[in-house]
Amino acid sequence: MAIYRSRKVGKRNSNNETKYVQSKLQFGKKESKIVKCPKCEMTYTLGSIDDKNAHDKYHDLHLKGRKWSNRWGSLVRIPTLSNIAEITPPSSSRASVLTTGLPIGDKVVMIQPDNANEVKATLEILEIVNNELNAPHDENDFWSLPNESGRAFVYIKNDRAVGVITIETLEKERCRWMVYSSKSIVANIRPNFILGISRIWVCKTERCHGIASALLEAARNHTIYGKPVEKWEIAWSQPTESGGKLASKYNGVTHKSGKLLLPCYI
Amino acid sequence: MLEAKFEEASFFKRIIDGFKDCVQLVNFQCKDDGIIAQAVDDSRVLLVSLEIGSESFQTYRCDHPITLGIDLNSLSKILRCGNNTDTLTLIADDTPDSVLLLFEDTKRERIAEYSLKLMDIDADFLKIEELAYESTLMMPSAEFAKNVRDLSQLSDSLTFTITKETIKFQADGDIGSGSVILKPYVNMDDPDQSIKLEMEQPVDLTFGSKYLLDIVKGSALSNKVGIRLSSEAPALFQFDLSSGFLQFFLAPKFNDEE
Repeated sequence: MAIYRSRKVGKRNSNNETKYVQSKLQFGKKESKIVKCPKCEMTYTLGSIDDKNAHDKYHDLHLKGRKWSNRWGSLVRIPTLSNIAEITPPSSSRASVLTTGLPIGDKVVMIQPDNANEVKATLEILEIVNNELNAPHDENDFWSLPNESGRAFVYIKNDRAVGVITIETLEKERCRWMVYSSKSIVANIRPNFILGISRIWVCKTERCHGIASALLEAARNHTIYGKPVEKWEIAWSQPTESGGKLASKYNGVTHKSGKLLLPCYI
Repeated sequence: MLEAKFEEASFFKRIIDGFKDCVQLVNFQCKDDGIIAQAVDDSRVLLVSLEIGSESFQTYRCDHPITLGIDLNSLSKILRCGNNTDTLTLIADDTPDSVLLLFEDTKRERIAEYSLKLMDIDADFLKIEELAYESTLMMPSAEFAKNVRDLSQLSDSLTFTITKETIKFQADGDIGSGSVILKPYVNMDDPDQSIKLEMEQPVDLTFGSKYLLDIVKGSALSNKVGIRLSSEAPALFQFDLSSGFLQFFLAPKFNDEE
């Protein structure tokens, strides 16, 4: 027999008195009860209601994305993917839809920094993203504050945010080339890129469905108002394994030495 | 066939009163060496474990192990009907759907007979493994009960702090705070009044007052209470019977900030 401490959720007492949380008795073998979810990789205790709820929430959030209100974000059109979903004939098969536009019901929205709710929701998504990418959590100002030049775009599918991209404008000093095979930065050469992809992420269940490409197109066309940026003017920051694959396909350049170079920034 | 005779009905009444306020439905398992019972309160914070050894009875006979599922509220109603000095005999057959309670006044040859319907209670019997405790305390149960009752007026949480030489009970509440500090003490004339402390590691634990108030109701059973504490395990409060015991396992409260 052991005791089980429930995790504290909800609001905290603001006054100074110590708040105690009652633990509960726990029976049976402890070690057999801790399980790791094979899909979301969260470890939790079977048979504990608190843990189960926490896991369900975490599991849904990581695998299916965050719930998204249809009032949040301003809808963006992606010219290169023909047009937005509404005009796609409903009979189109999924594969052909992806080459021409977004599947029915899907949309890409741009986050408006003056709407606190959508910024908060996006920050929650980026929390997951940064955890998954092992990236710093404090790089959000460029899109979340008004009057900054960066942007965040979110891909919405079935009322859930399943993908996100945050993008910032670059100064020349930060731009570099990276050798794809060795992940090393090319010294002494300062290329000129305009936009930098700070984060790009698609939730686990929706990968390889063209969502990242749609986000990239949205960012390319809408980050700087009225001025679409060319593909080769977009740089990546420390791409992960799958990010590197996406980058090499999207705008990698083959150098005359035969090596693939990716536009990068530091 | 079960036939268990208490010399005094009040003894069984005190046992039932000792834990009827924290649990309601209890399976009493009758075996050849006595009766055991176990129940967890609805909030799963307190576990009660009772053992009445066959030597606690004037006569005891149980041919086959049987389980009596009893609603303690109903049982205590019936127990109130007997006089304290009556003998009480519990009688049940091998596949009982009720248990017979027989109160006998030996002087006046008065016999009162009550039958209590049994219930099917779905509860697993838990094997409680022996835990290693960091501190063990033995003190007069009346004194412990008084401390708990006094301090619980101030707060819904009581903190027990045990160091090498002192035992401290403490309550911090809205209206004020209070603490009682005890030291180990040996009373040669009346050993039950002694306070014994064995400490391997200092302990600082907080418990819910309402559970402690339930536990101290067991004080009527024994002059002494044994308290065993560990920082990461349920605390054990034990009242010994002449043969057997009433144990309470209580999950502590933890500071929210930790």
